[in-house]
Amino acid sequence: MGSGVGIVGAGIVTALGVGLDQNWSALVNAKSGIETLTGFPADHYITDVAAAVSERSMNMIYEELGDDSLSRAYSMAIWAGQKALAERSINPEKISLILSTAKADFKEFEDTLNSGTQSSARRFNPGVMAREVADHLNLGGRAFAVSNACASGLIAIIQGARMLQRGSAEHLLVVGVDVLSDFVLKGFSCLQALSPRPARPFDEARDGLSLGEGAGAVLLSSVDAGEASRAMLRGWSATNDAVHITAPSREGAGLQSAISKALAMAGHNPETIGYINAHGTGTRFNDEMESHAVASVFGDMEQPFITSMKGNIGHTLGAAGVIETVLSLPVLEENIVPPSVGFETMGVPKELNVPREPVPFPAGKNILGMKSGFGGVNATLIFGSGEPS
Amino acid sequence: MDDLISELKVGIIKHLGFDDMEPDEIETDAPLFETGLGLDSIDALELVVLLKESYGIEIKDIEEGKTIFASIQVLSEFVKENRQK
Amino acid sequence: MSGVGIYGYGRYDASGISGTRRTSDIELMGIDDLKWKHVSDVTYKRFGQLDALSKAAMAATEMIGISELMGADIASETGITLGTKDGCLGTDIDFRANAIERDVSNPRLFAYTLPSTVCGDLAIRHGFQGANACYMSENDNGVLALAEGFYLVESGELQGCLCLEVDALFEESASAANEFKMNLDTDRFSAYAFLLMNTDVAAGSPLGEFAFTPGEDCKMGSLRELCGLIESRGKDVPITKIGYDDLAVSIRGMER
Repeated sequence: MGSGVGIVGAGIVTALGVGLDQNWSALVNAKSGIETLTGFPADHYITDVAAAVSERSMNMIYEELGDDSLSRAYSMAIWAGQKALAERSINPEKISLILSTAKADFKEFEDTLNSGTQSSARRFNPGVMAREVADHLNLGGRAFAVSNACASGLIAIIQGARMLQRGSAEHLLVVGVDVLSDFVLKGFSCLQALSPRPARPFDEARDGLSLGEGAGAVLLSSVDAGEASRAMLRGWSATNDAVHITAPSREGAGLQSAISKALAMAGHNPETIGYINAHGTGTRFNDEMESHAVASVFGDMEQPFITSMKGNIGHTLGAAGVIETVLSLPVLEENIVPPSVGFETMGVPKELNVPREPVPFPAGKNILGMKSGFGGVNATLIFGSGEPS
Repeated sequence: MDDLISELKVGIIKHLGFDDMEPDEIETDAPLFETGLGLDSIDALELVVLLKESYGIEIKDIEEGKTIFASIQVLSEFVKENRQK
Repeated sequence: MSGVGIYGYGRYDASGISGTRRTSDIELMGIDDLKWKHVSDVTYKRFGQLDALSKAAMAATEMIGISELMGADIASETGITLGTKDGCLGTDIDFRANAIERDVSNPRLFAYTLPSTVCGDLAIRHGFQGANACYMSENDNGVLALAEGFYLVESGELQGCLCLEVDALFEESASAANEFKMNLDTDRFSAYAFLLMNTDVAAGSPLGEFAFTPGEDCKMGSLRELCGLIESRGKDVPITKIGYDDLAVSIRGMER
């Protein structure tokens, strides 16, 4: 076969730590980064927990970047991007960038408004942030942002893959970033969507999501047959429920369609999926909807493992699709599926195969990533081993 | 029309943002959710805010709201019994 | 061999509200004065609940007359690409003013602090179940959205795509965050919408067509210019470059 689109580099920072090794180890050991909030007026919200990137992690990032004038969001995005780029030596002139984010540098924006200091508004704009992050990384290609709520990450990766396939770009760095802010904590409180305790995806006692923050980056490139990569993208799809601006369609029809279309694009049967990296926010509606969508496609066969990473790292909003794709790469490399933290008792209408401890990932199978977001959008991505066949 | 009932209809139109609707377009006994007025989950949250701001009633559990919001008639009876303002 | 054509357009900006469906222009109204009855005869009770950005997009899109151009089966294979420079910044400031500064809970407004909610509202109104994407770039957002819409239909991933550019008309000079806040009291928005369809499923001839023109030295256009070209009464077929990769679109000047 000719060439395909592969992930050839990755970077990550979350509440679990900096870099993929640290994050993966924490994931396999069922660690959670959801802790008591500091630095925010928790009495204004309906929760006092969130998954914040630690000060220790931030100090390490600032030290490595050598520039502490950068905001939290900018520094995480640039650092994760650098890590992904470092895995290959590609001429940065030929690399384009897509920034995936819901609120970009909003924490910095609200701090600036609160303090009344005069400051340029430009860098709070996601499109401008994309260009500035690209400039920091010395990338010479195009730079723009994709902002599709919680599905941004997968939609950005899909966008990059399409651009590579049709020759609109030679290499593409997808960086996802979102940070905690008074704004999002207050907003999700207004929507009554936050759990007062750490989120429990798919569990019968689940009562809402936990917010998180972080950055993830994947470097996409055309990969020839016989060439190695961290993972090969096999299929993808994006759909819209067209029912409600925040709630998913109850039976998950839009997500089911996105799963089926991605499989059709890959030319695969559902049996080829060994692990589903779910959206799994921990709200009653989302997890229920996902169980319906999964059951519709994987119905009577042996169910693939399915986990949510949001019990470990919280809901990282626009960055989630990129961060969780990066965190799924070691599943292919180590052949282990990490446990779904926060899950004890099945709490969704359709039975799912949710592991409570690490389980072996069947070698040769693929991963299905899925994310759904406000605005009724659903996105799916199928990726498999990057070992040359 | 009962004053409270007409007040609730006006309040719902104004607070929930149904600009072009007239109060007498809302049937007093028709369901508010699913059918009838066809309110959604965000409207439900906005109704909870309305009850707090206009009548001082706190709804702790949104599930409780489902029975209270069965119709304008049912809602007005609930407000009569529980209003703090 | 099937291609991609532009079959409808709609605009809401300083020059008024107009599009394929309307033969006469509606005078521009500020967003606060704009009611659904000004743009359509059918009922749409939720229009008042939309934020300004969504209202502008919805009004421009309504001018296309989508139900006359496609049935529900094509609509379910139609997606949306949106380009916006400042996105939901106005609504962000509104939300801060209400929920944070005055502690008045406003759940619906929070849903609008994401630019992609515009796509959500349009998808619900028109039954569009295909892919959505919301692009934000320093410049040329509209033509980026139009180019991406073209590729989605050309590749067969979609049968149709609604491509939009929506923005608040902020003062260009707003450079400080707090100046920004003051200039956000804007009632003025612009929205341009184009409906793309696979030529095999569309009836009638398109208003505009796409072609790759390598080496052609034409300048990057804007969606506002494309509307102007459609509305001009000339017989010429001008070419405007859009997106990137030598993609260009030609619009037939309509004779009325």
